[in-house]
Amino acid sequence: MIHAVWLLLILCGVLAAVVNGDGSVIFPALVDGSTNAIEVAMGLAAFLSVWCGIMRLAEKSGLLDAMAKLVYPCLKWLFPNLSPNHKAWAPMIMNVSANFLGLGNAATPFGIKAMEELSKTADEKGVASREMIVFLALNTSAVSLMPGMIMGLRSQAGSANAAEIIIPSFLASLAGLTAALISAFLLEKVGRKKQ
Amino acid sequence: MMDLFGEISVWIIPIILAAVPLYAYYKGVPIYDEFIEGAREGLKLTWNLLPFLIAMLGAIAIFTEGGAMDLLFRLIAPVGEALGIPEEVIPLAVMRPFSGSGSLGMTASIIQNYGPDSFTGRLASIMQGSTETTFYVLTVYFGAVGIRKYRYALWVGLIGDCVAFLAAFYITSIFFC
Repeated sequence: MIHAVWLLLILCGVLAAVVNGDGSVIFPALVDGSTNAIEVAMGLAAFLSVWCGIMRLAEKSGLLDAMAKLVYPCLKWLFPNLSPNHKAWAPMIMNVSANFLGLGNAATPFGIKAMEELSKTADEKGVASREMIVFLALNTSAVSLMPGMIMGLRSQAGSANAAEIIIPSFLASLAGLTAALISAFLLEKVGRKKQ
Repeated sequence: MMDLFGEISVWIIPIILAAVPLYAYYKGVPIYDEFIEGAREGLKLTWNLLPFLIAMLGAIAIFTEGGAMDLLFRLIAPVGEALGIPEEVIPLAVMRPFSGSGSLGMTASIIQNYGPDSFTGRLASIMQGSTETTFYVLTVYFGAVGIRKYRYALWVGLIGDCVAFLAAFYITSIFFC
């Protein structure tokens, strides 16, 4: 499916340029986009390396396992097929906690690590498993108690109460997460039947 | 309340950075060697996901710069109008899953132009705060571990985004009236 999405993004862009009669924007856009990708990856490389380093210390000292045991009961109902001592638990829990505290940048390395662990035990290589998609849903719904960036923007613009959006945005993201989880559950069932 | 959360999020990282190596050292872990190994893993992961990121961000840039994003705005605008959603936030809703920096820029300009405490300003803040850059998250997380078949993952993310946007609108209407 990713092939179709990718093709669609490019085709729609080129087609819109044809409609607008200006083809000169396409190539610079591709160069800009990929330059941006390299910049993002550079920032991520530094961050990811440092966090993976620290995480390895936490793992080797037994700290991650201890944390995972603590939060495991809250998350286990989402991943019924994952054994309690699966290595993905610890980074998954760290990822969810970091997101919850609004530390999006700190959450990413944990999330990637969790995906890596999940992919090690997946049935098929290169195919997204049910667990991976549920975990992704947790991440794309941005359930957070601390949307720091937006509160910063609001107080900069002179808001009387920059933090008033915390509860509403928490509730809205919960609604999004619920919908994402339900659709994951349903789509998994449909997918199974097709096979 | 906000001060407390602010303080927590400022101090949580320094505390982790001090406490984890200290605990590992106490447990007899060769901390320097293990940190290096972990950092090497981090670099490998980034290296793996870089081509995915180039492909996706490049395609999204073509989509946006070519003018397809504007067409999509116009396509979705009537739906928003029918629901009573202010038309200023429609481009934000469309941009949000594709580009984190793009949608943050839009939110910032809405907050500047309409005021942070206006209905539109609050709605934009809540929409931005309650969703994620789905395409980016998907590309990074799946790219790093070489997942090529996403199955229904993209739909799950986009359905979550749509519902969060609608919920943001209704919750804003209820909270701030």
